[in-house]
Amino acid sequence: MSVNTAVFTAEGQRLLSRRMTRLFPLGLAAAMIVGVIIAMLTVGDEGVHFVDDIASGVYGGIPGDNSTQVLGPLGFLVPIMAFVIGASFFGADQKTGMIEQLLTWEPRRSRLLLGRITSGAAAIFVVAAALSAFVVMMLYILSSATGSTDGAFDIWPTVLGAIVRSGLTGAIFFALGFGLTVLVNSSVASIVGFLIYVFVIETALVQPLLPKWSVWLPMTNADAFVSRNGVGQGGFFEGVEILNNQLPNFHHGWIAAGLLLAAWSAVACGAAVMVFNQRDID
Amino acid sequence: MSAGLRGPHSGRRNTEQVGEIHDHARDNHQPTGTDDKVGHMTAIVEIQQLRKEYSSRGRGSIVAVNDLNLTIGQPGTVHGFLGPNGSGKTTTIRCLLGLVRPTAGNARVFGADSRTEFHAVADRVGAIVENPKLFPNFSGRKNLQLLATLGRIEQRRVDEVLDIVRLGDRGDDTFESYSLGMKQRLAIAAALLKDPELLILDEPANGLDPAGIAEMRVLIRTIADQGKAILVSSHQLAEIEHVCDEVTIIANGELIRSGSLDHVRDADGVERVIVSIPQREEAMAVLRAAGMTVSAMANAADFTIEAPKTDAGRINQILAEQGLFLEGLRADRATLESAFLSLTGTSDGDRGGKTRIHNDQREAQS
Repeated sequence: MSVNTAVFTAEGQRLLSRRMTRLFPLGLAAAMIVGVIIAMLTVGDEGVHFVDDIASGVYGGIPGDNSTQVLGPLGFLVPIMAFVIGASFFGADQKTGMIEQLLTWEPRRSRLLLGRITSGAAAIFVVAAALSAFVVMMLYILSSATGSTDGAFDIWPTVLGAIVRSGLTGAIFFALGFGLTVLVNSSVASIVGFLIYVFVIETALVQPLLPKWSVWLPMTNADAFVSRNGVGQGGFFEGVEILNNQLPNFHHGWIAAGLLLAAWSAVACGAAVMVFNQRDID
Repeated sequence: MSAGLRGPHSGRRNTEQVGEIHDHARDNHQPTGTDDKVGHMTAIVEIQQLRKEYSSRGRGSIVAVNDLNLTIGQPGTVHGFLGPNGSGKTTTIRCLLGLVRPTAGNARVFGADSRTEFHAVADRVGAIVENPKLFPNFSGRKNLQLLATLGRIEQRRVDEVLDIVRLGDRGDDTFESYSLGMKQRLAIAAALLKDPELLILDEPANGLDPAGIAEMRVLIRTIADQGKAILVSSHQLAEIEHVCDEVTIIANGELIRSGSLDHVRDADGVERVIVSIPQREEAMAVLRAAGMTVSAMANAADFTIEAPKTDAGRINQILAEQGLFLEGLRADRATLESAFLSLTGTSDGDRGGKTRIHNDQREAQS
């Protein structure tokens, strides 16, 4: 086993063995179950239609269409979950002294950090994708119980794509959380800062007040990437690129949104490695 | 107790070759301490002119270690590293492990510069820095298994080291449920996983009860007797005295004294005898008049005289001629504690503190 493989394997196992990695997704899954139960009890005569709901989640509603974006919330919840897990994967281990312990085993800091990031991102990809698949499964159950599942198997590539993108979003935000936590050297500061950013700065301030800037921001792009929407000033729900390009406020598509997220994350991780390499561990 | 200790790097990977640091001794399973291609000796630990300053915002710098020199050359040696709290012991150890970057000077382990080349020798060094640092929610065994995976060590070694530290039957309990003594032992097990040639233990007896300290003492001595070099920092002086072959004392980040245990114990080079006599004050006056240096002790009947024990007859004669008869006279065997206190002056509580260099002092120095 090479050194890189050893670091990747050990740190991936370490992440998956942590309570945070298990309990956060399980909590979200439990919330989904509760949501489905509530939906079953309150859904009207129309019921839930699997294809319509999934399709609206994947492609976005046509303007004026009020159908529910079923996978849309994952574009919001998965980044938060992944960021918190990423932040605590460094912060908690820093606090308990595990980072110091690990550096006596693998003193090459870049290798240790990048090994942790890549193995953690891979693990969170799986966790986030599994959570998304679980949501789809719950919707299928809800649809079969209250509405219809007609045509469900015809759209499986579309559904699979959404699941994979959700997993990738999780991986990217894991790395972002890890990197930013290394930089500020505190998981509490990193997580609290991120939540303030998400709920106050990006959602309540930048999006309504500075729409030109919002197209570059992580949560806007995460939502677009998972939902396969374009990103535009003020936000809109257009999934078809041709249609998007014809709209006056279109800025970039879902692929660019994913690349932009990856770039944010890479910058954070790169800076983290540079800072960590120079830092005294004490 | 020692089963598995000496395993010939049991389950180990091959040492990674990194440039000039590749160690032939290890490949050839020689004990340690020797280098190298040209056959000359390389110290296990060699610290030269080590200095570490921490900046203290707006208040100049704090010097944690100041021009420290230290050498550990022999395998199978327990080297005590002593100093008051805040004297720079842990900073020195962190420098040795590449965790902290020296401001000046260098620290070498098996010939490798700790700052830039420690990775080449990391699998020959096991270390505990300050408290046991393992993940609280994982079992002892799980913690070790993950470290073994990271170090590419066979998993069977985990059970071996758990047995060495007598935690085999508690290996599946979570780390947070362990007593402090068990945590210390598990941390030692983690350090032993690599079957290291050098073991660095920072305050391993901290917080242990007397039975735990005695157990730790036996464990350290057993490991050293298996041919491993051990650097153990502590302020549990009596325990150090029991297990160490060599001692280094630092204060204010500076070397105070280093050498064999006897050399350090004999700190001021003055032999003393302890006299017991009911008429202490009278006897002390008589001996002072005879030109001797005497000092009262806490016990009301005892005092010390700076004299070799071969002078016992003469002392007895001087006192007897004045009608003063001894109840006892014995050599005052210096202890490490007395030497430590004498050398570091820790009774004033300040010697161990770090030196603060104010900006104006720094300017004056430069």
